Amino acid sequence: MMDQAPVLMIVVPVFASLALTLIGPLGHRAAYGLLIASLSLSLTASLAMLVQVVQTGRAVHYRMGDWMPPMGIELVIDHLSAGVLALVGTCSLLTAIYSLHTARQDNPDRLHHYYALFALLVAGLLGMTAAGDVFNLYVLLEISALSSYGMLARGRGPAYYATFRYLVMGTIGACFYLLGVGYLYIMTGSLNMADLAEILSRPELRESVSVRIGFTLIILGIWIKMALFPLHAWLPNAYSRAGTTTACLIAPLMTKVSVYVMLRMMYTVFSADYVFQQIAWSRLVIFLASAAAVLGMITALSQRDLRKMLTYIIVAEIGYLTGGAWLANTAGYTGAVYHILADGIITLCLFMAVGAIIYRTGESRAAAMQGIFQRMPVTAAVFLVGAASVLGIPPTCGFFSKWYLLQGAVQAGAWVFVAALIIAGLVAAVMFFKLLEKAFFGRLDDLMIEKSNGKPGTAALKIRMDEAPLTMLLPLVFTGAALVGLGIYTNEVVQYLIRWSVPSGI
Amino acid sequence: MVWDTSLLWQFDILILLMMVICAVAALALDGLISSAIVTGVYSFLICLMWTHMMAVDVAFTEAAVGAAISTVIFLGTAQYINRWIKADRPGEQGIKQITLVIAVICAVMMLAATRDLPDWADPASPASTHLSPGFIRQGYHETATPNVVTAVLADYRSYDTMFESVVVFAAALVVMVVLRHTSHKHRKVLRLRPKREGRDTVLRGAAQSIIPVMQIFALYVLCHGHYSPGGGFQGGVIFGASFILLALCYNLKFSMNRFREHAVLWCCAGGVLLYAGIGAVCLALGWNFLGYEALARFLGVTEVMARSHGILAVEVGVGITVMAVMVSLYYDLASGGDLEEGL
Repeated sequence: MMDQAPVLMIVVPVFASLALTLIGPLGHRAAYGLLIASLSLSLTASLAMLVQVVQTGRAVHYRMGDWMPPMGIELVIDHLSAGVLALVGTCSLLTAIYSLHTARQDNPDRLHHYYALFALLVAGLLGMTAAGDVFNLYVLLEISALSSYGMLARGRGPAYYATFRYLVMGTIGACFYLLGVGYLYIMTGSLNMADLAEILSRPELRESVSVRIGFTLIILGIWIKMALFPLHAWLPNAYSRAGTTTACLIAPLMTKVSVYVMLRMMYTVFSADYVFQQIAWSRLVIFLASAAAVLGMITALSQRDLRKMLTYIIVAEIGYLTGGAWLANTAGYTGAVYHILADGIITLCLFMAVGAIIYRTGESRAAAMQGIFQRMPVTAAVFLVGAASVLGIPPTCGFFSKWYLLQGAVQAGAWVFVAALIIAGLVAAVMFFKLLEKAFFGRLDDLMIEKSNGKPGTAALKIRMDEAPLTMLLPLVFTGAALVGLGIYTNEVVQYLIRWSVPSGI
Repeated sequence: MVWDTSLLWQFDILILLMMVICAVAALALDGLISSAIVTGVYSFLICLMWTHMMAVDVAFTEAAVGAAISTVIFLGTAQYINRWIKADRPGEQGIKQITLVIAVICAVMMLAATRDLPDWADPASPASTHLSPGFIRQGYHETATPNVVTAVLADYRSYDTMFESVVVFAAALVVMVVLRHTSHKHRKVLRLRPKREGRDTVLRGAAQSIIPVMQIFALYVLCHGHYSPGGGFQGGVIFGASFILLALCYNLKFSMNRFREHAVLWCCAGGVLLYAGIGAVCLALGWNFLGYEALARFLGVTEVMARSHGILAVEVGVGITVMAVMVSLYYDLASGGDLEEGL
């Protein structure tokens, strides 16, 4: 069974999605159970592969339909993808557990179809991460994109409009990627990543204009997908208007997997040598990344809505990741890969905490944070850990990724990026201290008065413990623990996982 | 044989010119319905282009999906959209100009690439020397399928094709999730909702004579994919189109009585389930996922023939899904999600 794990991990959620489409009459409990069961199986498979890759130190190759690549399609799970697969598996399972109450609240009807899209999205993300073929990656990108459109459109209020904008932008991004793959195919005749890498390293293709344009189109397409500044305009509205479960699933994973695809393209299909010698955009890209980090955080600071604030933090974090990937040194690369894992969990943690607060207070403005330490102590504590990770306070994992990124930026002499990291950190500190001040010292009465339209009579309500339900609390506490755990075991993660994936030539 | 393109370059220029005119017209026309029709014409021209490139399978798919079904779906959607022309605000004019600049930059970039692209139909180009010779030489011996396109699509790269059919399935699911959940109070009511009793004798007569032929042709296309252009996607689309024609010539209720909503849903998922199920059976028998050779023992044939039968089976799966998805999309879009009446 072990050698079939790569495909099982992807196919089990697909089967679950097909079954979920049809089991409407069995009720929501059955749908929830089926989703959890399939995602647990999928997570088990991905963890088993992580263990195998780390133990043997070699990538796992899986030949689809018993055809030899490059004729057939292969799945490749190396150190980089094994880490991202474990992240996707874990985050999606936690979100699935978390969704018991929120998904029903956001989807009063057709919950099973919503869950079917949920499973398809996870299959798409896992498939993109495990793909060893550039066209296969495109097909799975389409699956994850389509299902995310469907899930986001189920949000509240003007979600349709925001989702439509995302759909148009996402389609343009996917088209750019496909066009770029087309150029590569014309010039090489192959779609397999390893085969492409071998052909593209030949001297006559290094100078080719078409290959250069292919690279440009692919990278631009991925940047639209991962919402790098200034291509980020679709993200905040689409994510902040989504239902809680949708936001918890999509916000941490979609952009992180896109960053993974960028790393894959830059370092596996093309080489560090090609990207930094032939293309030589790194100054410009680092400038964009710095702008993303600073402007993202400043815009986040100016938001009143909690979830909108978090979405702008994602924009800023994408700046960190992109900058790290384009620093062209080992420390920057390590920081970027480590931050994919760290930021996935940080974003999940913050979105879950805010989701729990919204579930209990029915309020998504920053005012909902008032007196949160008395009402929801556990949620508030985990939120604090998440905030500490964004700020980069040890021993949370955010500190270590910042540390590597700063180290890489200093080594590369990219002082703009150093400045951006520091400024963004300070802005984030101001933002979270403002929130925490409300949480600690804010008077609950203000919120109550506002809610009761200024009638003072109801303001005398006692502050009560009103913690989120257990199915929401358990995943939340797990992410909080994971943030600290990942921070404590940074050395091991870097040593056994990331160091192996550092590409040659940087 | 090298395809001699020199005779036909005028033909190329003509098609290209018409395509540009169609693309500009689709953007410039005010009515959404006319835009949709022009897009259909555009698809048809591309289809001619594919035929000229000798990519008959692609041309077939483009004709069925791009020119036919997409146009119907656009039309179904257009009836719900009230389009009004806003006077351009100063900011919007700027955005439009920026878009134009970006489009021009992209065009220049792509034209720049033509400098070192291989020639049209160049037998020495990487695309025709790297992998294609292998497929052409071994394809028949390894899969017993004369149509190389089908062999590549449904066997060498069948994992992609499986997910392509999942994409189609996901499209139906997304439309269902988005349209059908709207509560009746907030539903956008279609003004002038067409109410047809299906009494039009000419239409009924035409439908009665065409639909059976269409369905038989669809089955032929599906099953004959091994030998000639065709296969699950094209066959499925044609089969689905026959139900859409039924709905157009009679009315939606009539079509839904023949092919009920619940059955459509089962077919949507069932086709993919058949495809992925075959993959899983191969896996359970100790081969890799979608390694059809595993079926040889079941079917009592050689392993090469088992691959051929496997291809047929997954094509049937694709056909069922595509057919049901086309019908499902039409039901949802034509009636605005309530499946009562429309178009």
